Amino acid sequence: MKTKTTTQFSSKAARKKILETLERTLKKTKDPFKAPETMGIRRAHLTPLTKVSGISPEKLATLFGKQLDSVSGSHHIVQQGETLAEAILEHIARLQKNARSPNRVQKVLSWNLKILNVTGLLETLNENHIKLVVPQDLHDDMCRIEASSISIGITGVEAAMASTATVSLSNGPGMSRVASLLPLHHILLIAQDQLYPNVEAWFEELRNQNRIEEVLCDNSQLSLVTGPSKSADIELTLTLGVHGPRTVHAIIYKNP
Amino acid sequence: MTIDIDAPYKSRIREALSDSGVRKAVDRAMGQLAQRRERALDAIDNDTMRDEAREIREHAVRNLPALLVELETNLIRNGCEVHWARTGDEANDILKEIARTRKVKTAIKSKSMVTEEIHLNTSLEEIGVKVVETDLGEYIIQLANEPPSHIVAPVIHKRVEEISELFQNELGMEPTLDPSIMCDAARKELRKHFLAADMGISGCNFAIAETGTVCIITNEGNGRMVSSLPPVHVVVAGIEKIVPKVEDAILLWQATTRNATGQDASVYFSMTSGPKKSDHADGPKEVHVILVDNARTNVMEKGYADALMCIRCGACMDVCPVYREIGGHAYGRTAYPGPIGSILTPLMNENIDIGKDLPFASSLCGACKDACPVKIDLPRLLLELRNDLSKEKITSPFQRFLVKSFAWILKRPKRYLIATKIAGLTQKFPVRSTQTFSNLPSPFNHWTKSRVLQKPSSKTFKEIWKNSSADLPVWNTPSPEWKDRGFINDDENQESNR
Repeated sequence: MKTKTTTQFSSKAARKKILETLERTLKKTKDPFKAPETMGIRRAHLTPLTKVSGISPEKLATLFGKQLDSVSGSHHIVQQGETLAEAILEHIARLQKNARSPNRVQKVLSWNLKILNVTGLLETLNENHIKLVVPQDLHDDMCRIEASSISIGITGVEAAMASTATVSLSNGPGMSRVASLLPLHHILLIAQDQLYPNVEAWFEELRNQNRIEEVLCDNSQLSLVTGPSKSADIELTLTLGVHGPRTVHAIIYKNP
Repeated sequence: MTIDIDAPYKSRIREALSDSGVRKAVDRAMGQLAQRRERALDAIDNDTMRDEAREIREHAVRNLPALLVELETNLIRNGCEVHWARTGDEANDILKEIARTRKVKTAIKSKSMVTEEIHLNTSLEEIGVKVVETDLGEYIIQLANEPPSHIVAPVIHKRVEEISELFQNELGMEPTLDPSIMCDAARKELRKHFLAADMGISGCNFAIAETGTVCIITNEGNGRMVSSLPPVHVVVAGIEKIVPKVEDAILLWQATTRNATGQDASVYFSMTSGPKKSDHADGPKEVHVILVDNARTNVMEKGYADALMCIRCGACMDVCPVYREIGGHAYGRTAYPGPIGSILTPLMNENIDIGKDLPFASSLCGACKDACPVKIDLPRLLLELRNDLSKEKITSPFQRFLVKSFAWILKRPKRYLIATKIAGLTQKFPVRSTQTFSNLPSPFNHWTKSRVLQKPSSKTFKEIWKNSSADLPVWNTPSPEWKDRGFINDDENQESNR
C-alpha cells in the first residue's frame, strides 16, 4: 500500500508542477511560439471536409454503398418485394459458400433483437438452423470463448456517413462491441433515415439537439468504423482482416 | 541489415547511405505514400483544412492549462482515473503500480509514440509483465527486437522476405511471401493475446476536453480491441494532445488520416469516455488516463511551443529528401525521426549530446513546412534551433571561428571582393593541374574527406560579368521575407545595390 500513496502523491505534485510551468510560460511577455500564426484566435464553425450534392435518402444510400465498396467493403440496398431478413440470410449463405472450410454456420454473434428490430429475422434464421448469440458478459470466460468462436457478427449502427462510408457504433445494453470486432465477417444493418451526408453533418445535428454528451459519454465508447480491418505494414501491400473483420457488408433498408 | 542506432551521428548516416536495400525500400514506400497523400488532399479543400487545423492546435496549445483541467474534471466524472507524470519514469511507475495491484501478467498494447518515448515496455518487463505489441508493424519489429523507423509505417525498412523468415522462426509459419498468409499467422497468434490479456495499453491521438474522451486512430482494429477486451485499459497521453470540442477531434482525425496514409478516414476511430456501465456486455471495468509531460513543458519554455501542435501524421518525413535517403534509424535512438524529430529530440533530451546534430540534418528545403497539416514552420524552427545550439557552444571553436570570419567577410561587399580575389590566387598554386581539391591539409580535410572542392576561379564573378556581353537579367531585390526575419538589414542592402 505504501507504493500506492507514493505514486498518488507524486501524481498530485506532477499535476501542480505541470500546470504551473505551463501557466507561467504562457503568461510571459515573450511568446513561446517561434512562428505564431493565429495567436489563439479561431473561427466559430469548421468547414465539412467532404462535400455532398443531393441529399435524398436514395442518393445517400447509393453514395454510401459506392464508398464502402471502394474501401474493400460490400453493400446491398434492399429492393421492393424483398425483406431485410431475406437479404441477411442470403449474405450469410454467400459467406458460407465462400468459406475456406465450408462448415455450416450455426451461430451468429448479434445485438439484441429488439434493438435490431428486423421483422421475421429470428424465424428466418431458425428455419435455417442458425442461432443468434447475444453476449451478456465478455469478462466471463465461457461467454468470451463462445463469442470468439463465432465467425459472423450482425449489428445496427448509430448513424452512417455517406461521403466516407463511415458508420458510428455505440455500445450499450444489448449492443456489444465484440459483435463488430471479433468475427471474421461483419454485417451492418443501416436504416435509410440513419444516413447523413458526412460525419460533420451528424455531429452538427447532435450538437443542435444537445446530445453530444449522451452519445459520447453514456456509451463509454463510440467507434467510427470505415470498412474492414486493414494493414499495409508489410511492404505497403494492402491486407484485410488483420485483427478486426475481414469483410464488412452493409445492408441498407427503408424504414418499416 | 539494420543500422546501429546508438552509433555516432556521422557513422549512422554513413551506414544508412551505404545500405542500398534500406534506401530503396524507404524511398519506394515514401514515394507511394506521397502519391496517396496527394490524391487524398486534392479531393478536398486542403488550404481551408490546414488553416482550421492550425487554428485548433494553436488555440489548444495556448490554452493548455485550462483545457487540461477541463479534461481531467470530465474524465473523472465519466468514471476514469486520472494520473499525472512529469517524466517518463513517473509514468512508468504509475503503470507498474496499476499492473502490480491488478496482478497483471500480460498487457496488450496498440501503437503509441509516447510509450516509445518513455520506454514503457522495458519498464513493465522489469516487473515480469509481458507486453505484446499488437499493431502488425510494431509486432514485427518487436519480434525482430528493433526500434520502429517511421511513426506511421514502423517497418518500411524491412523487406517481405525478412518478415517471412521472422514469422517462420518465431510463429512456425510455413514458408511464403504472400502478405495475406503472413497476416493470418499474426492474426491467429495475436488473437490469443487479445483474449487473454489482463491489461490494455494505448496512446491517445486526441483528448476532447468538453466530454472527457480519448480518441485512438487505427486501421487494424487493435486500438479498439485494446480498449475493449481487457478488464483494465490504460491510456498514456502526452499533455499536448488536447482539443476543446468533439468537432475539433473529427477534423484533426481526417487531417491525420489523409496526411498519414492518404485515406479519407481511418478504418477505426475509437472514442473512449470511460469504463463499461454495469449493464454493458463488454468494455474495460477500469479506465486510467496518464497525462505525461516528459519535457513537453521544456519545449514550450525554450520557446518552441510550435512543435507541440504536431499531430504525428508523418507527412514531414514522407516529403523530406533527407529522410528519404537515410531512413528513420539514422536519426538515432529517438521515437521521432524526420524533420519534426530533429526539433523534438534535442529539445526533449536533457543530455545535449542526444540529437544535437539533428537540426543540421536538413537542407532546409521547406517541403515539410508545405506538407504539415498544422502549418508548423519546420525550417524556421530548425534554423532557430541551430542558432540556440551554437550558443551552447556545441560546435568546435574552429567551426565557430570559420563561421564568424565568413560573416565578417560577407558583411561588406568590399571585403567580399578582396576575399574572392585572394581565393582566386590559389588557382596559381602549382600543386595540382586538376580543377579540384581532393585532399586539403587539416583542418580543411573535414570538408575534402567527404566531398571534392572546386578550385576557385582566377577571375571573380564581377570581372567575368563586366567582360560578358550577354544581356542577362539582374537580380538585386532580396525576398521581403528575408528582411522580415532580420536576415538582411536595410542599410547593407542599400550598399550592396549601389
